[in-house]
Amino acid sequence: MTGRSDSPNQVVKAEKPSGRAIVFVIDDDVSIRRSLANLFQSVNLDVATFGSAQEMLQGNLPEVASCLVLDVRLPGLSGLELQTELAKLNLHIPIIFITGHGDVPMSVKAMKGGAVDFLTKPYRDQELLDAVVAATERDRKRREVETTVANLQSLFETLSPREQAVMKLVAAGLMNKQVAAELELAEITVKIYRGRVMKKMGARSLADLIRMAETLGICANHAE
Amino acid sequence: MTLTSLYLHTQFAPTAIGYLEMILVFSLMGSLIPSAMLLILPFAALAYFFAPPTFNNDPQDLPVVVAFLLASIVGTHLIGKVRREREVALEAAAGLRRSEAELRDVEKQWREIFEHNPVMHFMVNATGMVLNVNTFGATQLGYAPSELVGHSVLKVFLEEDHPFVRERLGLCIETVGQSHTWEIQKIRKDGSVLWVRENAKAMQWAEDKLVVLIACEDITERKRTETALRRSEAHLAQAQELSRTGSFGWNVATGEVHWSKETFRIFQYEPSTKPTPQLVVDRTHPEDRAAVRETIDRAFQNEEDFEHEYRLLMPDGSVKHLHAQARAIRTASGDIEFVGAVTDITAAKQAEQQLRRSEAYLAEAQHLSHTGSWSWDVHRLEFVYRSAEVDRLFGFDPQEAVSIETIRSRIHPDDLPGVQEVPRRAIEDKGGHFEHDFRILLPDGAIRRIHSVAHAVVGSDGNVSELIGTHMDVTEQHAARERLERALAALHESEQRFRDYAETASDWLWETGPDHRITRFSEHTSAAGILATRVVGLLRWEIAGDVEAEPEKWRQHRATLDARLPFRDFIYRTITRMGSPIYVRSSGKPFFDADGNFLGYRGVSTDITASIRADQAERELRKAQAELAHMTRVTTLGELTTSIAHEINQPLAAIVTNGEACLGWLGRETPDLSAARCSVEWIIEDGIRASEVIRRIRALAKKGEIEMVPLDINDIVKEVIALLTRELVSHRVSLRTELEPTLPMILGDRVQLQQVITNLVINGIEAMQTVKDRPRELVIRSSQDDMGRVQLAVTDCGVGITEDDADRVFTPFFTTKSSGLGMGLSICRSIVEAHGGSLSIARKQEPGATFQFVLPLHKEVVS
Repeated sequence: MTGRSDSPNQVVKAEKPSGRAIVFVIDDDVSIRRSLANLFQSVNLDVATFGSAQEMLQGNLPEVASCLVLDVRLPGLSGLELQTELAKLNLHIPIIFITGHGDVPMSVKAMKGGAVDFLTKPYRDQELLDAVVAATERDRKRREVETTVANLQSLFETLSPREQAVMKLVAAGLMNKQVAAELELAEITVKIYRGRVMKKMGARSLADLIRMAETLGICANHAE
Repeated sequence: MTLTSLYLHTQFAPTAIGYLEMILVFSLMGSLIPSAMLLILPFAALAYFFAPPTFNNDPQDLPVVVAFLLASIVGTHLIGKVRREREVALEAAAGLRRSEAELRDVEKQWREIFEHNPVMHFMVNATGMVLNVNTFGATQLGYAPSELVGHSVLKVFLEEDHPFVRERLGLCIETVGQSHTWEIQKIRKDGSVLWVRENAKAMQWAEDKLVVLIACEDITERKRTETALRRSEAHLAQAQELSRTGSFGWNVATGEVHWSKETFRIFQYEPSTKPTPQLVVDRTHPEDRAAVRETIDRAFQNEEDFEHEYRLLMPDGSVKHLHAQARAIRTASGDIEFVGAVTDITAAKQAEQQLRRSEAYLAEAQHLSHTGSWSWDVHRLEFVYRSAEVDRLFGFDPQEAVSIETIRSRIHPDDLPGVQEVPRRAIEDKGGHFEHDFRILLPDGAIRRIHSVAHAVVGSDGNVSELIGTHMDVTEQHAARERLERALAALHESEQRFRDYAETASDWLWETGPDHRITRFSEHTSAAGILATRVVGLLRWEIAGDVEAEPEKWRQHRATLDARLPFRDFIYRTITRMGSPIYVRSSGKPFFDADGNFLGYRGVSTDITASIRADQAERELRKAQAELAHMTRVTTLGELTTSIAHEINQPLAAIVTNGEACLGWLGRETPDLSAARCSVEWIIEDGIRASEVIRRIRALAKKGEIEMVPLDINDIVKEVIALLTRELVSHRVSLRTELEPTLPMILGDRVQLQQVITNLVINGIEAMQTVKDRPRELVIRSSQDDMGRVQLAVTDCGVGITEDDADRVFTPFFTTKSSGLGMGLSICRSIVEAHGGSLSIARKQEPGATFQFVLPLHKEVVS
């Protein structure tokens, strides 16, 4: 092991940092912080620890699959507030809350806020490890999807406005004729646009295109 | 003759005599030849007529004839010789007579020259009598020649020169033919003096007489010039010596240097030394050498005057200060010559330094003694002189003249008449010595007390012209005296006070003898009736009522007495005359006579029944308070259960997790032993942390005796914070501590003080419970107040305390909370007061309140 340290907010990494999941631990208690880091490292996870939510927000978070382990009752910015803050920043890191109190309303609030897990003390370490593995896996997937969406989005942006409009309507399940009527175009023109769209978006089939549109969230609300 | 002789028939002998006489007469008259012929004739006549024929046989006449012949020849010769000589002499006499006339002419000429030669000529004989003197000489001396000739030459000499003159004449006579020269003074007839240079020579004069010829030349003028020159030279030398100024000349072109005697003396060179500029440089002090050389070089190059001061380092190591000044003068030959003076200013320098030093000393002495000296013109009403200290005392500007009005304005109005009285009296009494005190009122209102001493100075007219004196600043002495007087007064007062105390106190004084039996008792005690009068003659343990109850105490006490040691605060029980039990506290010390024999004990006893009772009551109260404090403490702990549980759970959770991790490290294919070791180390650390929390809680929950020990309040604050961190966090309160790092120790009970602080912090936390619009901040500040006591303040920014509540917060059972006994602040206050301190609210209003308590220092509590 390298870089084992008590230092509260040092990023502690395993030998191969690239592309591996990283666990962020925020706890004001140094004993807890270092014991959690120790635990994650013992199962070959990269760890970064912080003494407070503010410290974490100030740091540069790596663009890899990660999850956040924190105590609900953090001093300063609380766990739930941090959750809100991260959401505002559009950072969708899966959060595993740990609480010593186990009050239900708080758990509900946390889960609603997008927490992946809620562990009540005393918990078994295996539970935490499972939760962490699950969360990082989820984050990895989310990142994949995000990448796909981003790709589709950039393809979508190569379409002309007219083509985009055609795509939206086609994805909404409209027939060519209906699309033509909607856009006041000749049907044959719609066909040509549709072909261009299929080609530019790289869709192999109509179903493919519809799924892409869904992914992009651009299904036109057809006024039927 | 022959005929006569024949006629007479004279005998041969008379005839021969006749002939001889005739021959001699003729030879006297004529020359040799006639006389010779005459000789022959008488001889022949004689021989023929008067003597028997020669050639006859009468030989008896022959010797007579021969004798005749011889006698006539000799006689003739002699007479002839005389005659010749006589002729020569006559001839010479005629020559002489001829030349005498010529001689007389020449003599006359010479005589003229002699008489009127502008040289005085004297001819004196060996006894000094003037044989001759020329007219010029006599006239020069105001005499006629006749008045001098025949008199002693000493007449024209000064009395004191007579021996010299005689000695000179003697010398001339001894060395005839040699001339001698000397200079001497002569007196004229009128008594005036003239200087002459005399040239004298002795010579033979007529037969064996010696005369001395003296020629005198009047050198008065020269002598006068010479004397003047010598005098001025002497003056100069003397002036140089006196002024320690040497002169010098330096011809740059020829390199010729001239030094005066004094210059040699200054530079300490032999006057025979040939002076050179290098000699100056050699003597110059090494530190000044460069500057001197530079000055000389510059003067040399620029041909200009120079002036400089420098030091000499003499061979004996002493240092001289010199001032040299020179003018560049162009000589007739066009060369530059420096002519100057060099003055030894060592003495002046030293005097200057000494003067400056003594002035400084005086000023310093005046400053130190706050004494100023002055001189006052009583008529012109102004200071003739005033020392710097006078200015300082009066606050005058040393540069300014001070008007009488200014002086008056600085003197305290009450003292002004007294001050003005002094010169008035001095003028009136025409003298006197004055001493008086007055006050100076400075512009800033400060007052200086002055003790002034003055003397009147009486002028030549018998009137007082000036007052001279000193002003001494006695403000401090005055203040010291006042302080002393006050202290003495206070001492008197306290003496009186103690006398009053002693008389009114419940103490009584006692004395015991060598056998420890009571011998004396102070009177007022028996009058007060505290003890029975019959105690005199008894032993203390006979009076006491607790000897059986507390044997050890009495055994120790008796041991102390036997050891003749003093004892203090020995408490025992006895009964009054009325039969009621009382407690007595007694202190005593042994006393001895002059020989060191033990005489007994003397001491004081007090009835302390009341205070013993009060102590007992207080002890009860303390106990009750401690129990109450404990109870509230436990209640507080109850309130803190969640936080405390968290404090323990944290390290426990960490221990478990680290344990799990440790297993993970060990369970790897190649176990990571160092990571496992590290995990175990953390487990140990966390375990210690958990047990530390438990120890603190146990201490708080402990129901123990109050233990007063020296404490650092900051340590207690830190312990409290350690317990309350979680509580603060869970209530979202940020804590700020401002702890003064170097606080003195206080004496207190750790747990109770922890309780006070805990209570104040929890109160603060709760007061901020409703605060949503601002950060909840709690400040704990320790400091020292102006009296040096330790002060601790807890400030919240919560709802504050209303005016009504402020009066009631410290009363028991007052609470604004839904939970709790309402005993917290009440207990806190009694705890702090039991520590000799006080607890108060320093700030009541929103935002927040400040509770603070002060505690006396460790040593105050002890004393």
